Amino acid sequence: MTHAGLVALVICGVAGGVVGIRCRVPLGGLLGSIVGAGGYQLLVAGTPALGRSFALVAQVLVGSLVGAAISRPMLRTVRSVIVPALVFSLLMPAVGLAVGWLLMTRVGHVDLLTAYLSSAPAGAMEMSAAALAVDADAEAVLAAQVLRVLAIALVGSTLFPIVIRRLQCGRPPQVSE
Amino acid sequence: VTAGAKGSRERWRGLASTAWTFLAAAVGGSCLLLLGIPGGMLVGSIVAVAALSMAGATVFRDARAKQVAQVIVGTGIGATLTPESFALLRALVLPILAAIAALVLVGLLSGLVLARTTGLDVATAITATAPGGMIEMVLVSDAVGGETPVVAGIHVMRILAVLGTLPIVLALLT
Repeated sequence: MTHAGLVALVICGVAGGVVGIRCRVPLGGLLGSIVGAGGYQLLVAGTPALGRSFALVAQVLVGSLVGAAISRPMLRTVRSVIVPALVFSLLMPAVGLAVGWLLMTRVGHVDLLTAYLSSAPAGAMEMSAAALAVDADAEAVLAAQVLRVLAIALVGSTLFPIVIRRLQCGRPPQVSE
Repeated sequence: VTAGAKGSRERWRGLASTAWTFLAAAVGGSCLLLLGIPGGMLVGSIVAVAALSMAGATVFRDARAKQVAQVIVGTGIGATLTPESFALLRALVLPILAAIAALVLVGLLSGLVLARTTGLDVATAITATAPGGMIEMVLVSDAVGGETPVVAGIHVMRILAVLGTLPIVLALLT
């Protein structure tokens, strides 16, 4: 791909991202830029482009955002539940690996790396950046992660309130001293 | 001190914190990358910026940075799209939905165990362990009367655990 082609690809990606953000689509920057850059790629360019350096910049940006979320006040807040929360947090990569192996590689026939990155429950952007870095199938990873976030947002806002209310009704009322 | 001078100083401080946050991330990421650790750039960036934040330095936190990161990652993914990608995605819809169902079940069970073992209320525990997006689950938690700071904290820990163990998993899988 020529330099002009690369510039055009990036312009289409940025334009799509801006439209996605302005239209307030959930994960609009991510989805809009895929539509923009992907549309250009499919209709004009034809061959995959953008090298490893692009993926590295993406990782530095995403890593900075995740790292900045860690602070002393945040740790103080979860201190009382730190051990079970840690156990749960470490259980999740294991569940992701098991689910990825069982469903994505056996049924979906993708490689185990793509399967893990698709099933492990971290952010859509974070796992997609990781997929770009290790040459996994980034489109499959993104599709799985976006579907997960949307599905659980849907389940969370409709079913969770019902389940929580039922569970709270089953407990004896708290008596304050 | 005039309001203009104060505003200018604030702007420079913001720029400086942005610069050292990204510099620290790039240095941390490059170190792990040079050591040959899989996913090193991502994990090294997280570790370096988290260390800065824990040391009390003002690190860059801006909602617009997330949007910029989304556009960069999205453009990178869009650039890899081919007609074959769509056939693959069609084949993956069912396994992906089954994987989501399994994760929801594990999240619900973990929430019940967390509520039993820690005394957290059910609303907080279930929304904290649901493997969904952090912002969405914090909003759901707020709606059902959960403790939103705890929910946000546990979601950050989950994301960190997945990303922190990434080099180990990648080393095992590649």
